[in-house]
Amino acid sequence: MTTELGRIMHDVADNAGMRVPSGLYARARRARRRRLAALAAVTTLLIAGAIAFPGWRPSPPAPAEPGIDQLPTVLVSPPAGTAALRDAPLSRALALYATADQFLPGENSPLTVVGSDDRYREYDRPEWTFASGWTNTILLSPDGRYVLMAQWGSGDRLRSRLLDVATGDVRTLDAGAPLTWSPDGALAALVHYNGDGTSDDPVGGQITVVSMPAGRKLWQVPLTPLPGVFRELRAALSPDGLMLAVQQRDQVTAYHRDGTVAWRARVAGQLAGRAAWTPDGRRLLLSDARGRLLPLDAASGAAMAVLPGAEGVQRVGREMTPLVDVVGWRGETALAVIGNQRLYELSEPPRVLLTAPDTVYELDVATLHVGAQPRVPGVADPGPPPPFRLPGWAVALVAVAVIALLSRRRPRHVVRDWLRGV
Amino acid sequence: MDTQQAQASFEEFVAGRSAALAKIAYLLTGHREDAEDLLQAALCRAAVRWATIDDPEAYVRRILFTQSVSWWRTRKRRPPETLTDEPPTLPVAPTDQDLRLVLDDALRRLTPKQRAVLVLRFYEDLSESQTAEQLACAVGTVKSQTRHALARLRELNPHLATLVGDQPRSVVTR
Repeated sequence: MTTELGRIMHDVADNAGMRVPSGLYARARRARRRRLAALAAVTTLLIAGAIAFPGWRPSPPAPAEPGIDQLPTVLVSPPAGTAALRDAPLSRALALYATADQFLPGENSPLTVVGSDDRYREYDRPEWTFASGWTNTILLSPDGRYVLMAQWGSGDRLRSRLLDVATGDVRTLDAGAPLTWSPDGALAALVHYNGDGTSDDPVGGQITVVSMPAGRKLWQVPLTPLPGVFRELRAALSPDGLMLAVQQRDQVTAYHRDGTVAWRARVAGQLAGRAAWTPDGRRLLLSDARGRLLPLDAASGAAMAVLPGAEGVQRVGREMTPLVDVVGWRGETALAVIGNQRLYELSEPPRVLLTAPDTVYELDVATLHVGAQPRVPGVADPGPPPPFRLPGWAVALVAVAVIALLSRRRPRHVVRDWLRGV
Repeated sequence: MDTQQAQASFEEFVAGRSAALAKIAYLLTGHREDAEDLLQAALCRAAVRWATIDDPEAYVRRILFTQSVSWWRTRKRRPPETLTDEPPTLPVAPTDQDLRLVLDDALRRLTPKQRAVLVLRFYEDLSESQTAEQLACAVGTVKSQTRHALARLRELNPHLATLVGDQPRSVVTR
């Protein structure tokens, strides 16, 4: 019986009377090209959107409670493909450095940020500049959470960029360019020049002490107008935040919080960094060309007995630069970066805690919540792979959606017809 | 095979085989427009891979059968059925033309898979295992789909019982 079914089916089919249009081959290939072009366009748009639209970026990690991290004994060059800090923030930085090959005046100059557990990130700072000839271009907060950098606006307007390491966000502080952090990171001193501070004409200005990270102006002291005032200027805040020592050339002036002068002194060295005041606030340290520390009495500015500091230490590379930059204290012992190359514990004898790569030009190190014994570093972690850091499932979902959209068939649909090469 | 050779070969294939393939497409869809769409889609798919296809006829047929099934799921063009309490009236002796019209209408009321199975089994005259291979399903599926399709045809119009057999050995369970 079913043979009869086949016969009638043939009869049905024979009476269908269908036609096939010509030019199908060219149309099929044209349709394929269009589909591929559309797929490429949509994919490009999605990728561009993923880059441009910050909401698509993964949420930065919540700032961690300050724990104790151990510094690595050695910093290395950032591995290839190291993630950008903006894309993969760290809870905080233990160290921050710029290498000589990153030191490109007038161009963007990336920084290497080193977090706990050997996590490396890069931050592509938009400009390379500093607040004075005696300060670095990068100032890491003592707890490693923030980085202060100078920003030269139009018309000699000096500001500060404040980079939050835990989010990658940057804010601008209007009070001036950064000279120093206070030892506890609660304050910062920012300078503003009343004109071109680099000119040979006498130019004055102000140093403003601001609360951090808010940037609220607290108090202000004047700069003595000097030719080339920009070139030779340093500052250090006392541990209690109630005094500010300002060095212009060979004169140090100590100011009280109310702006009055506590004392002035002629000195033979330079203020020894953000932790130049001893933790008890009784002495103010300067370093000299031999790496020695020259204390001043914080109450009067009178010179005190010289300390050996890093004198006699066998130095390498840029450590030949004698400046001792005290960045923190461990009890009565200073922690100092010397020559932007190594971090020392200035004990008897001095002990190297951390060594940066030979090519490092500027180095800063967090000293709060940092353990006493540096650890041997592990393999450097470059962070999530570039370029877009969208989770894999999101990429797959987008791809499936695009393909489904492009292959969907609806009668009399303009897009469908175009994609089919009609 | 370069592009020009492939195009010439493709157009030769279309000229020679499109009529036969169109009939299959019509039986699979039940509508002329849908059948033309289905056949064109299958030929376009084949065209972009023409140079690498070993057996174009088998390739196009396979696309026809697989696409006819997947197509239907996204379309809402199954003909409406009129529900009535009246038993169908039967002409005394239906002609072949009557049967053709009745079967044409009844085929449209089958599911795509049932239609595909019937076309392969009774139009293409393939065995159950060959049909299963074409549809990429189990032989058991072919058997059950065939049984259900024939039972459905009997239900839809008693005239068709003369084509598919009077004994409804397997009653469709719904």
